[in-house]
Amino acid sequence: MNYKKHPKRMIRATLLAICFAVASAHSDVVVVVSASSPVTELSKNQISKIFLGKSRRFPDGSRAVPLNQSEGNSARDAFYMQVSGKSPSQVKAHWTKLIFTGRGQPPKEAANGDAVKDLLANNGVNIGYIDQAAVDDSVKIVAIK
Amino acid sequence: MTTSNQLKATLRPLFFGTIVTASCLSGYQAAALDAINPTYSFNGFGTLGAVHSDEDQADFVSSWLLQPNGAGHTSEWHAGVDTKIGGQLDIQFNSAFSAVFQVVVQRQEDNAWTPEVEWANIKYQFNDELSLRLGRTVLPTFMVSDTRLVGYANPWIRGPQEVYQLNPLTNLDGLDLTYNIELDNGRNTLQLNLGKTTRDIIQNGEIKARKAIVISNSFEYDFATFRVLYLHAKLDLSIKESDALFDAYATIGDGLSIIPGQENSAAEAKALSSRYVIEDDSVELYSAGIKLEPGNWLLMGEWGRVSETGALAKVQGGYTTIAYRFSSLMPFLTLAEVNGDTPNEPGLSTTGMPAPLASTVNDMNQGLNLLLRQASAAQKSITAGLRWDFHPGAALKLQYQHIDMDDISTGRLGNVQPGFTPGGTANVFSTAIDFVF
Repeated sequence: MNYKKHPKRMIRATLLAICFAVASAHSDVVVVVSASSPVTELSKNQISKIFLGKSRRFPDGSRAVPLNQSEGNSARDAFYMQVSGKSPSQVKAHWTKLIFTGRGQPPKEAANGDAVKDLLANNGVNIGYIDQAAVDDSVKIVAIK
Repeated sequence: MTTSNQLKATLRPLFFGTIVTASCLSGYQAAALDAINPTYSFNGFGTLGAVHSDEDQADFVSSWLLQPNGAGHTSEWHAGVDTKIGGQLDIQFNSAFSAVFQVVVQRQEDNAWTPEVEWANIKYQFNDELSLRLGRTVLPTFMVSDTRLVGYANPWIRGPQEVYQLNPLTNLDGLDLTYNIELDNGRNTLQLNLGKTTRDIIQNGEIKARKAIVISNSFEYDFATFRVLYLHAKLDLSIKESDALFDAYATIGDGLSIIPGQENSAAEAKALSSRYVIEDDSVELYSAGIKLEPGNWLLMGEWGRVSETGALAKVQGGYTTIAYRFSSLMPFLTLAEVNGDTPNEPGLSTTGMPAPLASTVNDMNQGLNLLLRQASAAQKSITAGLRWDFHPGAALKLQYQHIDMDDISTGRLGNVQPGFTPGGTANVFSTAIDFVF
C-alpha cells in the first residue's frame, strides 16, 4: 500500500492500530466475583455505579461491596477507563468530592490481583477486577452486558 | 419572644432528632452492639494561594464579612485570601452508624489562623434511602457548598463570589435528614436541615442565624444535576461601626423628642435605627443550580436571591461556568453578576437643627449610605482560568478576573478605604495549588 498516495488510508490504518492497542490493553482486565456468587452479568453502568459509590447493591437487591486495587496499579486505571471512561485523576477527583461531603469513602483497597482474589474468596458480597491471566477457580468472571 | 423561648425553639428540632434516633436504635441495639468494629479514615485537603489586585483603595477578599483585609490596598499580593488546610476524620462504627469531624485552618476575621471545627456530626443510616445526621453539618446553600473549602474538588480557585457570598455562613448545628432515591440512571436527594449557627465576623462582630429551616432537592440524571433550595432563618448581625451608627440614630431620636418642634425628626431618627438594625429579622434565600458534564465538557450555572433584611438589601446573583477538559488541562470561563437593590436613603433631615448637630447627622447619613452600599454589592465579572492536574491529588490553578462595579457600589471588595471611588473596575490575578492527601 502506498501511503504517500493515500494519506487517508494511512490515517485510517493508524487509527485502527490505536484502537486495537487500546482495546487489547483494556481486555486484559476482567470484573470478578466470588465463585459462589449468584451474580453472572452486569452492565458497564451498573459496575461503574457500584465502584463510584452511587449504588450499594447488585441489580437483584443483594449488597455489593467493591474492592479496588491500590492506586497507580495499571489494572485499576484500565478498569475505570473501561467502565466509566474516567482517567485516574478524574476518579481521584470524584472520590475527593464524595469524601469531603462527609457522605462516602472509596472502596477498600487490595494490594494487587491476588489480594483481590483472597478477599473475594472470603466474602460473597465483594466485587473486584483483576488481570484476565490471574483468573482461577476461586473467582467467576462477570459478563459485561 | 423571650430568650428562653428562643432557646426552646432552637433545641426542639435537636430534641426531636435525638428521639427519632434513640427510638430507632432501641430496636437495633443488640445487632448494632454485636457488629461494632470501627474503621477510621483520615483525609486532608489544602490550598496554597496568592492573589494580586490592582485596586489600591479596597481589598480583594474571600468575603467582606469574614476577612478583614486582603489583596489590593493592604498589599499588592496577598497569600491569606485562599490559603487553608483542613483535615477530616471519618469513623464507621458499623454499617449504619458513622461520624465525621472536619477541622479547617484558614485566616479568620481577626487575621489569626485559628483552627475551627467545620463539621462534627454523627450519622445514622436507617436504610438505603434515609439517613439522619446530628451535630454540626454543612449548610448546603449552594451546589458545591459541601466542598466549598476543598479547592481540589472545584474547577475554580474559589466559588464565584457573586453567588457564594450571598451567604457567609457555612455550617449549621442541628439535624440533617436526607432521603435518597436511586433511579436507573440517576438519583434524587431530598434534604432537610434544621438548626442554628453563630459566626464571628470583622470588627469583633457576630452573625447569628437561628431557627434555620433549609429544604433542598438535587436530581441527578446521567450527566446532569439540577438543584433547588429554600432557606429561612432569623438573623442577628452586629458589626461595631454599624451598631454604633444605629445607636447614634436612636440616641439622637431620644434627644430630639424632648425638643419642641423636632418631634418629626425624632420619629425619623428612631425609624432609621429600627429599619436598618439586624435583630431577630427574618431572612429568606432561594437558590437554583444546574451542572452538565457531557464527555469532557463542564457547564455549570447557579442563581441565588436573598431577601431584604435590615441593612442587608435584597440581593440576587448568578454565574455560568464553561470548561473543557483536555486530559490534565482544563481551561474555564466564568461570567457572573450580582445586583443589590441599594435603598435610596436620604438619611435624617437636618432642617432646623443647630449647626454642630447638623454636621454630626450629615456624617452619620454618609456612614449609613456607605454601609448600605457595602451590604448590597452590585458587580459583573468575567474570569478566565486554567486548571492543571499535574499530579494525582494536586492541581495548579491560574485565574484572571476582571470586575466591573456598578456606579454606587463597592462590589464584593472589602476593607474599603475613604479614597475608594465606587463604580470602577478591578483586575484580579489569582494562583493556587490545591491538594488532597
